[in-house]
Amino acid sequence: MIDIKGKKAENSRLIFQSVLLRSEIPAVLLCVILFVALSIFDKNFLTVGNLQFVFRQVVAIGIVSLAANNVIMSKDIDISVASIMGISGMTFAMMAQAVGGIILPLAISVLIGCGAGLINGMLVTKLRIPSMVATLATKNVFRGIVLLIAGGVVIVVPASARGISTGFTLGLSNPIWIFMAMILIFYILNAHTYWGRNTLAIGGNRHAAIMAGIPVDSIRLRSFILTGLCSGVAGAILISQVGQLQATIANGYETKVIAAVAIGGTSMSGGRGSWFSPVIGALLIGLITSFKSVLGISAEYDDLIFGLIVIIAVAIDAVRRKAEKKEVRV
Amino acid sequence: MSRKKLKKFIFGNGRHELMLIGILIAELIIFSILSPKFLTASNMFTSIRSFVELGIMALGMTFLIMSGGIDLSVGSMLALVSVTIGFIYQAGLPLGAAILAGLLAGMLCGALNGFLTVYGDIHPFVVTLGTMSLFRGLAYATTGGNAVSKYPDWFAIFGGKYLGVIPIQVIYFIIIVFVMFILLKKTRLGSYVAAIGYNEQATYFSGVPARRIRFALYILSGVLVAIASTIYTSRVWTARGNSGMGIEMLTIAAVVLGGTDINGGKGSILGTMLGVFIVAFLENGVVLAGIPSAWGSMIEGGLLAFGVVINMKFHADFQINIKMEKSKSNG
Repeated sequence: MIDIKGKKAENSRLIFQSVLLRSEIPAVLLCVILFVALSIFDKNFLTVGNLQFVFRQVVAIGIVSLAANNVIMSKDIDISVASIMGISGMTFAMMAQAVGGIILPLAISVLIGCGAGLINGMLVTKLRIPSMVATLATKNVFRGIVLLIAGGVVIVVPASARGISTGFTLGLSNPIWIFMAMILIFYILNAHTYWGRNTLAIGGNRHAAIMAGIPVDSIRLRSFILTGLCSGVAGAILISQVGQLQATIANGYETKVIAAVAIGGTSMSGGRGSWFSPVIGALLIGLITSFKSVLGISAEYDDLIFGLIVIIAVAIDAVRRKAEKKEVRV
Repeated sequence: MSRKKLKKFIFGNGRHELMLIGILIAELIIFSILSPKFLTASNMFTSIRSFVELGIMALGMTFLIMSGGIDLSVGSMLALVSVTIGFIYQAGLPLGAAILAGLLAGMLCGALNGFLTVYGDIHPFVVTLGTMSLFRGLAYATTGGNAVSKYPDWFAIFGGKYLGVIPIQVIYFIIIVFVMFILLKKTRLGSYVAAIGYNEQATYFSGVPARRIRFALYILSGVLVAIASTIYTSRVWTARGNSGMGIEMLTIAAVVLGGTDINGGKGSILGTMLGVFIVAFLENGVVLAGIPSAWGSMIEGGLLAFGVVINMKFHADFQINIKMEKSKSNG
């Protein structure tokens, strides 16, 4: 006789364990702790307006992280995202001033973002330049273009075009709606399509993926284009939040984006991660930012904090991988 | 001559340095046309003064990239070491002790990078991207927006004095280049470095302590950055948190342009030096010709990508390299 009850208990224990051992759990726990701490320390924290403000701040980071997550899962990296955000933000501001409206400037800035992503992807898949070097180079080139065109001028985004990030729909801030839509899209892409599965397969073992007949280069190319697209959207949102164009806009965002992805639990060595990691990572960064302002820590410490986050996240990942290796050996 | 032969003639072994010299001469000609001040002795010495730091850091980077690693944090490390020297001196300690502390700081930074990369088994690019922010943040946090620019006169022996017409740091530079050249070409360590970059596992199974050597290379890079930072601080006579911004990109561009394979396994000191000359004269020439500096950074980005592609073409085992890259992702 099979002891079904015992099996069930064993099963539920395994499920419990596998949930607890998920790589997103540390970030979720940290989020809860920070959330509770903030609502105790800051009387104004738990109001709808303030919560919206906190999350609106991280929408730009969150949207880019969702796509950069895919690039990282397939064992590539993209550090040109901040410069792409700069280029598309500049396009958005200039188009909004020249043409007006929201849809057309947004469409064009997203197209520009896609083009930049395509260039990255081509350098990586066609010319076979390692992604880190290719995007390090394009980071400089794209930022150079922004500096050349917008170096000396100040362009104010018209109020009509700022609706994309300052307006409200059904009581929720517009960027939060966009973020939620993006999360839904990436949830479907990553968790319910071959594409998401293949991305992980490529990151886990590229050679095996090639042998298995997965169109590796095409998927990597599409990941880069998608990152460009999302950086385009995020650039437009960011510039309409700021309200005027500066050539240094979004400078240093690549560290924040990578910090969000890494702290969320996606492995920096590729092959492991989920759509949920960048979401929780971005939320965590939002909470850390507001915690920082509650404690009165100035922006000078930003580099220090985000650098520490990346280092801690990759160290946790390294420890986890070592533990798993041991388990497999036994 | 068949097409294949022609290709081999142009891209054959040993012609990489010739091509670099060609690029360098072309660059010198273009900039001396654009600006009459460019090809003068005084400008040459000024620009040599300002690129010794870049050259020293590129030497460490050559070793790292050859062994399959990379270090993005060199610019931030430069700032952190400079700030360490300045602020420890300001705190009342003698300058000699402050310089030693700076050297120690560089070693510790390199050791942190090396520890996480080698013993944590994390890709060096991710690690040093994190430490790039971390070191910069530490430098900012220490200075709090201030700068230290009061030093005793003898501090100038590192980067402010001249021997006749020759800036003193050029002497140090030549010595360091010579030492590194011997280290790479004439010692066992040099061949180990290349072997590790080509195939770490095989090297390890041949009885070479591959991990320890990789760890040591990060510390070596940290020490070289500390030396560069001392020279830099002495040259500009001030220690502030934002020095060395973006210099990691120049360093990597110079090394890669010099023929060091970004996937590891190949590289030369002579090539790196030529790469440094090309990048440094570009920086200097763009300023003198009155071209917006944004063009300079764009051209440098382009040079980096160009360097990687041209390396692949130049290496006779181009096809093998691609296979290596594919099989590397197994591990």
